[in-house]
Amino acid sequence: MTILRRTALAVVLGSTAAIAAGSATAQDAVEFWTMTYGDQLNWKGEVEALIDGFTEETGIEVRHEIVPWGSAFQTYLTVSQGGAAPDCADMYWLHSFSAIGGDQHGPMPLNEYRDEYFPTLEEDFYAGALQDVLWQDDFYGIPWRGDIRAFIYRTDFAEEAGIDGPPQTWDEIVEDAKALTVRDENGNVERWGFAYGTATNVVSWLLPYYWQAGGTMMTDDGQTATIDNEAMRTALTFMRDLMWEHQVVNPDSLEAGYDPQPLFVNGQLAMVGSAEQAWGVELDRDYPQLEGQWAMATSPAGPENSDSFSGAGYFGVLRGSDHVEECVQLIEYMSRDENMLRLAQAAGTVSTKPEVMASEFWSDRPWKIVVGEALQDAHTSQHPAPAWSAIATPEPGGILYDLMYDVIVLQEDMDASIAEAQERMQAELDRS
Amino acid sequence: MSTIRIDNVRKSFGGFEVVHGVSLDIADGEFVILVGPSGCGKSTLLRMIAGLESISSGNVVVDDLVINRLPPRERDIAMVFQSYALYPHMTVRRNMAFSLKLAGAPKGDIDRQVQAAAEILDLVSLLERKPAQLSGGQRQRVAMGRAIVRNPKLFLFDEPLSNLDAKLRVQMRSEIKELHQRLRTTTVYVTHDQVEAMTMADRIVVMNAGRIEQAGTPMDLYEKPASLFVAAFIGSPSMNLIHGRIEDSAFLSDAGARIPLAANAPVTSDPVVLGVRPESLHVGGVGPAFGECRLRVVEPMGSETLLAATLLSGGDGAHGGGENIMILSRVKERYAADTTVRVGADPGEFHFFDATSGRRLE
Amino acid sequence: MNEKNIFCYLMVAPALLVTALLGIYPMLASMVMSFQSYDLLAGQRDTIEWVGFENYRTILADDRFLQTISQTVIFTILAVGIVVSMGLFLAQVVNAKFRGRAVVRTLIFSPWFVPPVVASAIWMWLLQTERSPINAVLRDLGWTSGNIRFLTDPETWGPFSIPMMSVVAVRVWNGLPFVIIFLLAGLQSIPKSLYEAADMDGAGILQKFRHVTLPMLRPVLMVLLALLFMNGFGHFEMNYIMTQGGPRNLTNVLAVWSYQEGFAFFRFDNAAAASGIILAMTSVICAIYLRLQYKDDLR
Repeated sequence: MTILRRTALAVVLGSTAAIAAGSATAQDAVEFWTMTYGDQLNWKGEVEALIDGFTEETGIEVRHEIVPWGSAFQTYLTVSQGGAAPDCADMYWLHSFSAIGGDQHGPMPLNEYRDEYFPTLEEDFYAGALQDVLWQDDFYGIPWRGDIRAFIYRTDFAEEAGIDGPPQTWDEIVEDAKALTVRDENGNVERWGFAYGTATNVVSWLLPYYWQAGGTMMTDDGQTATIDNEAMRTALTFMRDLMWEHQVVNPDSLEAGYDPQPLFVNGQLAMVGSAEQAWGVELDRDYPQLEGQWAMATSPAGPENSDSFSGAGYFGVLRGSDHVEECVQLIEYMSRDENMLRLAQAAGTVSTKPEVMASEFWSDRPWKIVVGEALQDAHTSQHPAPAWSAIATPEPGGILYDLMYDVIVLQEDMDASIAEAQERMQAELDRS
Repeated sequence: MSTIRIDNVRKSFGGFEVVHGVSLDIADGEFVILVGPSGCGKSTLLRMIAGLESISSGNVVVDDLVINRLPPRERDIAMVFQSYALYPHMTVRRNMAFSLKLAGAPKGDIDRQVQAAAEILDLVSLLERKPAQLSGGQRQRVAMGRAIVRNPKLFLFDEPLSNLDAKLRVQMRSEIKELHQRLRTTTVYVTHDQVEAMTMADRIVVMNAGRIEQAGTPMDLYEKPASLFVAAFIGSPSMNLIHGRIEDSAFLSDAGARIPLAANAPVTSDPVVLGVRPESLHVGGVGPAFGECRLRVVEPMGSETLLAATLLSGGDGAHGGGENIMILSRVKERYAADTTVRVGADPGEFHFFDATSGRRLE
Repeated sequence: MNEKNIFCYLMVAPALLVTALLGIYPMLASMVMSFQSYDLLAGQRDTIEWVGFENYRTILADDRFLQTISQTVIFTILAVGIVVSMGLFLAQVVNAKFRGRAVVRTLIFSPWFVPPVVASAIWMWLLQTERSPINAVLRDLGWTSGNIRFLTDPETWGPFSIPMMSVVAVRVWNGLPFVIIFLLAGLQSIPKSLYEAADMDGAGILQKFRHVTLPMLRPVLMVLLALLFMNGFGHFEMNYIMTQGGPRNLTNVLAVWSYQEGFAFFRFDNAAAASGIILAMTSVICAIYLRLQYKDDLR
């Protein structure tokens, strides 16, 4: 009997102690989650320094937790379905998560705090960035980081080929790319003239060209798909011809595992159309020997405009929180110019406030200046439909991925493919 | 015709030699048994003949063909293993037919030969069974059947009866002997059991520590053991061995017993060992005197009685003794422990060995 | 129940609990989900309702899904067939005595220490068309003039393609040590005297393999094949990481399809139905295995 008694006692005592310890820490601190940007330790240090400043000012305790990017999507999916949620967090894809969470879970609208804490929203922030915090007329938080994509190219190869300056139009892209593509005596390509984009999300390459051709993906109310039009044909034809007619783009670039950065660095790739500004940070940091051999430029103009892809992340509050007012105060604190600058510096991301982008930090390198300029033409990648992330998922089977792949790589009938994509996309929009 | 000549064969494992220059001639149709204690090299020698071990030096010649380098299958030799090594997933029939099938014999021939072998060994009713469904003795016979079916020049047996119980062993012994008389194939058989050797062999080869101690017919070895080792090895219960000296036509044991000898006893002043088999000692008044003994343990075995005794004094009267001896009495008498009896023996049945070299003295 | 029994149950309880919570419960929940309509994006609006086999019907009507099923089977058969054949051969090599055996053994077992994810990453680099050292060596040797597009070549011969072969090769590479260990254990339990008897009976190397090794390995082989098939049908990492199911769906397998359906398209009901199909397939293997076991026991 003694062994049994002792074991049972140990188990009971142990778990009681654990529970007690756990609940002891669940005090009145505000739970604040962010992902990681740049060097993790450095980022955490910066955020906590900012939080300390906040606590000093307001007396409110804040607890900061890191959500790794690898599990960020899963985490917020779970949160939106009722899983353990923080009070406030660094989030993205507002529209999708709101729709999933509905009235019960997920992002919380902060309309009643808007006038009091953020009276000058439209003046302070880029219009494109604000799109990422507004959904069905509700206000959800403050956009703090941008992801703007400009044009990047190897200036040394351009000089060799007698090209002065980056291409300004689609036609110039074609011309320059042809001059920059190099083949060996067997016909194997040693250097590709052009790549559509740097991001691993293949679908994000199509969007800028579509916009530049004057197209929009859906109506403003998010109910109707609008991709079956001339603009789509123009964009797809442009991309397809680059691959097969002019043969300046690697036919494998839409496959998994395609990584343009090493190719660009090794001289196997000359120009990239939609380049994330993170490349500027990375090239400066990892390949200083390439200094002076590359440059960014604003997006060349399509038939209608020179819109660039832009995405944003924001700080918002989660439904079910007991510290809504405190969270709003924290967000307001973070949104001040000096703090936003600090965040942008730590993260290496573009800021969402023109004031911040005008600072010293964002003009000390040529590419940063370009980035600043590109923000003028930013076109947000968020769309007012929860199904957007499903529609735009860059996996085989995704609607837009399939459209791109079928038309650009497989060279199938364009009209049929576009019509099918339109139909599928409409069905997705109808889902929600 | 299959004669075997083993010519100065040696075997080493690494730097360690286990068979030291063994030579032996085996006549066609002979049943030769290699016998000896564990580790004497008999199995190694057998496996060298089979081709399962390489020969370090020397030759093995079968019918004037040196087979050292031939792989087992080209030697036309069949082997019965101690563990039978039957293919567990094949029926008895297929086990026996296997070698013929590999050789590409036509099906009709295979069936006929398997049937013939099965009849000889009384396996016909078991042909469709698998080894797992057979008893030990039956498996033994299947192993033999597998060997017979091939009609080889030579049979090799590697301690085939070791895994059987005593009664079955006795039965199988005579079956194997009968088989040999019927087929007349040259056979080399390995065992550690000297009773098997004595009862089955045409000739016995006693091996010890990698050498041949003596080769000869069973009676040769029994009546004229060439060394102490053979003397002690052959015969059950073993020969009594008493250390001492020969003096004035008598044997004086180290313990002091004096035993009278015959006129033709060897003459030497070196220390000798007197050997006398238990069955040569008789309790009671028959024959010349050997000595007075005190009976310690009486083991009646039915037809005979084994007596463990202590020699109190030699036949010559002088007290000495203390040596323990065994007496095998075939007389139907009841003996009692702790009694003193007179023991007689015919000095012509004494054996003498040089105490240092162990070799027989004439 | 005496004290000893209670103690034993207590000791086993944690492991049972973990298995139930992390293994059985999700499986059951997933099966239930496969019979419901569970669209995450509509979840708040519609209630979750029972639709019976509707989800299964939906996915089975999708050509891409059917191609995925057949590919899963082909992939698995290829990978298992190759890995077992090579394993049988290499197990004998590892078992034999020869100089340099320790080095060979280390080489053969080293892929085991690499987790599948890491293996995928390494091989992705090795097989990347332009930067592949393999392509470079082949060109230097003069055996090829162009680059082999290991993971992206869309040409097919029947159901086979180069990307499929590449992924199968990596799967085999990663799984070989496990198979070899298994077979090695089996090989070492075969009594040497059987081989000697076969020698005396006149069997050559191939015949000894066919008539002694294979039959004696049968129980081990059966377990191994059952395990490999069941794992193979549900395999996810390499196909997802190396090719994401492309190009053109040529390397898509059920687990990858299911994952995409759930986490990219938010259609968890379809994903669960696909998982249900995987469950059905592995059950078939299980049933076959159990049946063979039963017949063996009867023998």
